[in-house]
Amino acid sequence: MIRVNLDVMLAKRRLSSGELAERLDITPANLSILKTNKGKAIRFSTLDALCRILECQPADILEYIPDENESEDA
Amino acid sequence: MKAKLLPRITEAMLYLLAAFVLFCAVTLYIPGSGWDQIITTYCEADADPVVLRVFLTTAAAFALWILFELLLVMRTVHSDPFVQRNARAFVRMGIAAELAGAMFAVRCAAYFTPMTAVCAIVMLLAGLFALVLAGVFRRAVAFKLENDLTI
Repeated sequence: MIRVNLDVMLAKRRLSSGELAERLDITPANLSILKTNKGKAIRFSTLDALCRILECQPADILEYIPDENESEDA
Repeated sequence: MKAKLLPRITEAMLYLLAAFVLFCAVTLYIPGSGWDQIITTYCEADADPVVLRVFLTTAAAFALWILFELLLVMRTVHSDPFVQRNARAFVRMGIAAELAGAMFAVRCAAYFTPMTAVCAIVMLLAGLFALVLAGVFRRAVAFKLENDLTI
């Protein structure tokens, strides 16, 4: 699975979730979906805006975690 | 204006049709009513009036079931029609229509008339249509859910 690590970057840039949602032009509910890893997909435009606002690379906010089933098969 | 008018007209027609079916089902049992006279005349040709009344009442019950489910689906058109409940409603409509069609088909086998055959074919077709629509709705719900969770 892909984990979205926004909290670390938010803390580094001293931004609240509400402020980030406002700058991203998305609702706080949608940002919460992203933060809690309930999202099914993220648009490149949203990722682009996130990286621009948080001044970071995609790897700083996206992390790949192998699922337990996948690691057993490997 | 036109976009809101069509669903309202459809809903009104559903209510009217349900009222008509209910009226017909009730007047089946009122002596001296139009339906009663038709059944009496019809049953002179060796058809059992009790069996015919039960048959028509059951057909009316299936029709009311389908209309009720359609009405519940119509109510969601203004807000969010692509929900699992509506997909299940189309499955139920399909089952009701197939059962009604099977009933008419059995009646055809017992006592054939062209109109009964037409009714059987129409109900069976309508049931298939509803079941296909249920499948399409399920996919639409899956697409919508994926789209809603795409940020």
